[in-house]
Amino acid sequence: MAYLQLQGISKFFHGVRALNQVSVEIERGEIHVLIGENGAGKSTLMKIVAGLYQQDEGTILLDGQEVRFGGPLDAIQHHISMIHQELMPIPYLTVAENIFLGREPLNKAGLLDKKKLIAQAEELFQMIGIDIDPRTEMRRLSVAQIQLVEIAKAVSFNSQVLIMDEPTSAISDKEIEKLYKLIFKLKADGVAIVFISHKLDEIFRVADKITVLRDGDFIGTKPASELDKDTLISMMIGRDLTNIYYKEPVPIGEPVLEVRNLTKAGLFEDISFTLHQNEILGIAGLMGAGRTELVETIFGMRSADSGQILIKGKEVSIKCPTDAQKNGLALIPEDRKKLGLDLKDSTGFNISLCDLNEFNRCGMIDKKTEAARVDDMIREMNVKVTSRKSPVVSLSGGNQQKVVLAKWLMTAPDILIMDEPTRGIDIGAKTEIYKLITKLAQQGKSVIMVSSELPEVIGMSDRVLVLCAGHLTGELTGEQINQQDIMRCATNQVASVH
Amino acid sequence: MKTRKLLALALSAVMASALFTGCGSTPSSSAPAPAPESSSAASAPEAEPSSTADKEEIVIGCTLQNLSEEFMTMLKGAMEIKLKEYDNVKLVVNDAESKPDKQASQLDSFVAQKVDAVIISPVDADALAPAVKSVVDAGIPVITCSADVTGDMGQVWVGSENENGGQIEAEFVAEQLGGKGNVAILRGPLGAFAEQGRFKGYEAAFANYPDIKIVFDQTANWQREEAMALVENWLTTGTQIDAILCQNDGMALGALEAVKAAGKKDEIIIAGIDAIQDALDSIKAGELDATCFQDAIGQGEGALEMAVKAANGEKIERNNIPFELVTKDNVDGYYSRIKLPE
Amino acid sequence: MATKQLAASPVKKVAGNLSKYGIYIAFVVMCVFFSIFNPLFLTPGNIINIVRQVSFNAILAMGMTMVIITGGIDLSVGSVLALAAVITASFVKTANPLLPVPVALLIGLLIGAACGLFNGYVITKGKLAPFIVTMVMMTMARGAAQLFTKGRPVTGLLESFDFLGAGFILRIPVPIYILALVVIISHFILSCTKTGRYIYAVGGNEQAAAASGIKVRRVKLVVYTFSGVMSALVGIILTARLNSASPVLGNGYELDAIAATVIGGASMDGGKGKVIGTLVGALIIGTISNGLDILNVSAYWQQIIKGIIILVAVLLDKKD
Repeated sequence: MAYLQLQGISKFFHGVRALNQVSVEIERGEIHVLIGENGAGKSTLMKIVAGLYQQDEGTILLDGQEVRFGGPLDAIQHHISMIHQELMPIPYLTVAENIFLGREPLNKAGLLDKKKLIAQAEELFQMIGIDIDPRTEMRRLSVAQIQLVEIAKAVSFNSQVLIMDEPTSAISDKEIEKLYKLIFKLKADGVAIVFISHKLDEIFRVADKITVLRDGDFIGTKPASELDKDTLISMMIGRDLTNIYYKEPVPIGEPVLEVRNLTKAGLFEDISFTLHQNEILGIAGLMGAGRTELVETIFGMRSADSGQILIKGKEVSIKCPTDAQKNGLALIPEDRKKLGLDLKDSTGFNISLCDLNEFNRCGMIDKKTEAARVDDMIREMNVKVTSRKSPVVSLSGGNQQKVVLAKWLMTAPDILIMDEPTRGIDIGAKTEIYKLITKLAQQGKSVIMVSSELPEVIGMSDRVLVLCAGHLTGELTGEQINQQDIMRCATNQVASVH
Repeated sequence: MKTRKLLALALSAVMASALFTGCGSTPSSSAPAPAPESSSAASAPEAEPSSTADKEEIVIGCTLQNLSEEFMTMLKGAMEIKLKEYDNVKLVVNDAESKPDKQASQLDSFVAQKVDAVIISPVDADALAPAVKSVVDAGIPVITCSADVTGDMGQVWVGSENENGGQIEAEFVAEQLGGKGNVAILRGPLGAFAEQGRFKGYEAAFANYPDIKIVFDQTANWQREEAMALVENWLTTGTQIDAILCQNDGMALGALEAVKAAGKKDEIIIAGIDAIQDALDSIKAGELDATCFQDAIGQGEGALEMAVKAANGEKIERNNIPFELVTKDNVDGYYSRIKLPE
Repeated sequence: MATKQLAASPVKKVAGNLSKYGIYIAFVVMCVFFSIFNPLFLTPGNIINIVRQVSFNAILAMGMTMVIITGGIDLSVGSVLALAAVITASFVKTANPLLPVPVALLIGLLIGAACGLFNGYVITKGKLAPFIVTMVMMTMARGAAQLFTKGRPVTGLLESFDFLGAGFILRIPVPIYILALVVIISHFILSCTKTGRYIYAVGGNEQAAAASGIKVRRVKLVVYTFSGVMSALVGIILTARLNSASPVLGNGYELDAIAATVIGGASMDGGKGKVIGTLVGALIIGTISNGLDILNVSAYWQQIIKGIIILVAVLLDKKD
């Protein structure tokens, strides 16, 4: 009998079904990957196991005993720990203090025994092979280090089930290796590990078994060895997938945007390029190459030290996003929660926010016309939402991204700058966004697409600019747009190509 | 950087101007003869040599409740007028800003400066008693002015007994009502020195009038607008009110506004205490019925006189300056007594 | 995503609505309670009386609501109110009327606007916390009012001026009309105009608002200026009502205005708040005082009971 058995679990949020009769079995000493598009119910299912939510139907058996958790503390006491996607350490406490928060060792006088605290943490780190000084303040650690500390904390609770929600989404490859090492060690010690991930390569590397969820339904559990990528993708999206990049060639038109010698000290230097009508211009580069900073400067969110921007041949002065908007620009930001959306308000509020002038009638907003346009947009963009009044925070990542796109498309821009347009969203929504980009190019718009996903850049771009350490190190067209050439330019330290 | 420099410049300008204007406000120092600045606590060590060098000079430290209150400003003014009669007395006036802790530390620095006598109008009767005792213990005579501290700490009080004021006000109302009727009472902040004293006076007066009934009794915290709202609310209850006793004039004027708005001015007697200008005007116009004059000038002058005597080693005694009833009949005589002579 | 409505139990539904309309229910329950114990409570005379008393705090709270929706706070309302009051009053003294009443009013409102604009300017330009900046304004405006009057109340004002606070139109006090006008204007701004949307957007996510082409600075200048004007307006009406302007007028009023706003459902984090909610919040605070006065509850108990009622109202209104 499996160590952790989930039987017929269902969960509803505000009457909407998030999980439907899901049954999964997890063994000790196995890495069980949970996969599915965003909104498939993976996180919800695991939050039930970790005691953050309570299921509306179904039972959980732990080691053959039925359990029901009132809260996360209950789950921890049953040796189940979850490491969340968004980590929540207490920044000004030390590593050791974070790990033993709420169960600090005391001395005879009832005061904190700091020496013992540090000793306990050191012992723990040695046991599982982590090399971090427990006296360091939490805020000084990298995301990856925080993750390791969280895992150490789970181990300190003697966790037999360890749930990790996309642990590798924000850390570097080198750090990922360290994480894997630790996970494999825990697996060898007999811990049951549940791993939620989007990254297909990673999944095949770590998984013993894979369970696929889709729209809250259980699709299947299979040993990783019996699956391949294509099968997995078709299980996830419910159909076969041939090409997700719906790129269709369109004749390129006149120049619409010219950037000349744009410089911002410390971020990028002497960047010049031209964007044409109907064109999709990819901007590639490694983290920290200055891509986001470049497009934010073009959009007026940062000020440049020198350089010119020309739109349709005329020089323009863009000092703030309002100026950019007036010149027909739109920017879909990289961090949609921070810069793209007002998460406290409704979907409709967000969609019409940039284009309220259109509904302005003698100082008043014509709410009827506004509602009609917003509803049109929701339909057109295929945003999955009950009503325009629904809070935008309740939408999945992909749908939130569609809302940001809808918001800017309302302003009928000529030039769309998209910074990582498909980050953190599921394959279904990705496909829709690729289709949309292609359609926009066909309609005569121009698109700048900043992306770290090479397949996306290669699949969608007519032309690719490559940035390296703030310099333009490559401009690639046609056959040159391939993984090797892009990477060669992206790692080049000297601005030589252009 | 540029803005930083500008800011620094502006800040120093503000501070410089504060230095100049500061002489006229708090802590202020007034001396008949041009004397070296020694008003602040920081210059405490210098106080001793200056007093030994000029043995004749008497330094009196004074701390008042709050110099943004009119009555306290009057006390200060009266002391400064009296000061002109002496040529060897220096008066240092501190503002306690209604903070008991601040006043206590002001007393401490008076002790450190070895002043010859202290005048205090205490912010809080209980909280300042120990501080007053420590001044007395240091051998410095203390005159409490207007308000007093609780218990005998060796201080000598000059002022008008609040109980006496309350009694005069209540006696007036009782007589006007013919010894029978419903009265409402507006008190100052609960627990305040004057609130307690004046209320005792009411009780003492009404003890002789069994047919007078207190129908409402609330606090409006000395505030005009609070008093108005409170009386508005009372009037809507329909309870018969024949008179409103207010523990200060501000509240009496607020009550008056509410009563006037309800068209009941002719039915309700309203009386206050303090005799502020507004109240006198209102009495003269036939609206407010009475107030009780508290002689700020008399208190201030008396306090300084006593302080000088005590500093010279003379014996001084508790000095009650009685309240005086002000009505339409005698109001004209009071205008000159509520203002400091120019 | 497949959706299936849960068969919501009637009990759950009622409970949901209870929290949705929490403060309204609290308000009604309170009124019913007071009128049971004293039948005079619900008479037209007393209702008018309550609304008039509430109007001062409610008008302040309208400005406060806008500020709080942007995620800020305005501690200076009570002091700005006093400054505008004493200056306006000094122009319309019976003994020496310096300016026609309408001009004096305009100057009073402009003083409020200037103080608010200063708040907004320093907050946006200096990138300082609204708490600090408006606290500085709180002490400065109070000091200026004291300085201007040398600590004494300004009294003996023109009768035509008193009309604003003490007058009646169709047997309803003038301050109630002014309150109605302010509520309508505030509601209009917040729910019908572009500026209103931007106010919510700035409070919802300031960075995203800026990235969406909203001039965040301008929005903040507008709300603080509006709050300043509301403060001055209250200062003027209060002065007219009392026929006197004291430099200590409005001391502590900022707390009542904040309380009304928060009871009304606004979030101190910004992004959330409603004009009608704030109005009911102010009514709750005013009704408690009135009801307890009418029941002649002792002053000591009044403070305790007020605290409890406000706590219950806020708890009832808490979502989830």
